[in-house]
Amino acid sequence: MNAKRESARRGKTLWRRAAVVALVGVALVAGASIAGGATTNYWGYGNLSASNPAAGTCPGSPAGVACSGWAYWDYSQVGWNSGRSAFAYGFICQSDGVFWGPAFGGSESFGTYSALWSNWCPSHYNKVAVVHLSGGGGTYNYVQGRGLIY
Amino acid sequence: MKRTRFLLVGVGVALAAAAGATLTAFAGTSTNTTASLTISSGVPVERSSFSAQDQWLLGIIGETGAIAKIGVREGVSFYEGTNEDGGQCFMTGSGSDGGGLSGGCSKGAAQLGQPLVDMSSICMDPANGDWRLARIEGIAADGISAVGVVDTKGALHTTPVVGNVYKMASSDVPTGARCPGFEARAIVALDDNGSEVFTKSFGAG
Repeated sequence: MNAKRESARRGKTLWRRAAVVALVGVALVAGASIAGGATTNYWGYGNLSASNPAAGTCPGSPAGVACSGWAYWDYSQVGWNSGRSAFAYGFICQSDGVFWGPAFGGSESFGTYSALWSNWCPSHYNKVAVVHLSGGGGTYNYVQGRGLIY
Repeated sequence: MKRTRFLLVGVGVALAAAAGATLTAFAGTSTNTTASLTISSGVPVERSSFSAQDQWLLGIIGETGAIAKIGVREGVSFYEGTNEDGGQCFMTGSGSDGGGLSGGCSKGAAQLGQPLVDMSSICMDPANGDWRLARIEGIAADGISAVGVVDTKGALHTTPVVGNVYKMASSDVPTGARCPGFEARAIVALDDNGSEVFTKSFGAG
């Protein structure tokens, strides 16, 4: 009789443990999806300049423009490590066909900067891009262009 | 009231400031720079008041410290924060609730040494590289009363700094066939006397 009770108690304990493990697993997966997101490095690190990347690297664009493919990118991001030329990062918006994004003069602090698509594009479908601009105290910037999906 | 101290880090700027010298303006170099620059405006903002996506972005850019809303101008909210290395972070939010954040953090423990945290944007035709300065906005240190765009003809177009933030109204920005905006040579910061104390150069545009 006692052996049967002990067996039943152990069975309940195992089920409880299994349930706890399952709940923790579900929580972890849910947490990962909340804290997750995907980052795609579409260009660089490289020297962004008037001649690099070459014309056509971003299809239909002159030299000094790097871009991703079309997607529903949530953020355009640039990692800027060195160089002191003017440049910009942002989006080529499908809806109006032009590039929009924050511009650096080249004297700002190096770092990682991110731009949310809805602040620049009328609709979500876009390419993320970095573009060299004339001006600034240098001729290039050492950057990496990234696209993020939340 | 919060006071954010901007420390000079550029070697040339620091040396010039220490010597009390005046630097000749070139791309992004301040003139008549003082040893410390401050932002007096701002109120604390709880991180939890932002959406999950905005909080995710703050983590992505490395913003880990206290956040202050410096001000709102023309529907854009301007924020300041810090990263784990003590570097400064600056963000904007274009949503009606102040969310929808974009922004970034400076690398390492470096502090900004410029009287403008300019967050202006360009519009560019990706087919030929022609671009215009389409949005003029950002954060200005105490003592900066206006920010202006110098166009390629040398004309100055200004917008006031109110509570340490500025954003030129879209109605003051020229329209264009492909892109709105100024054919800009530079963005300049003006003090109370209307003197240019900082220049962010874009070249000929």
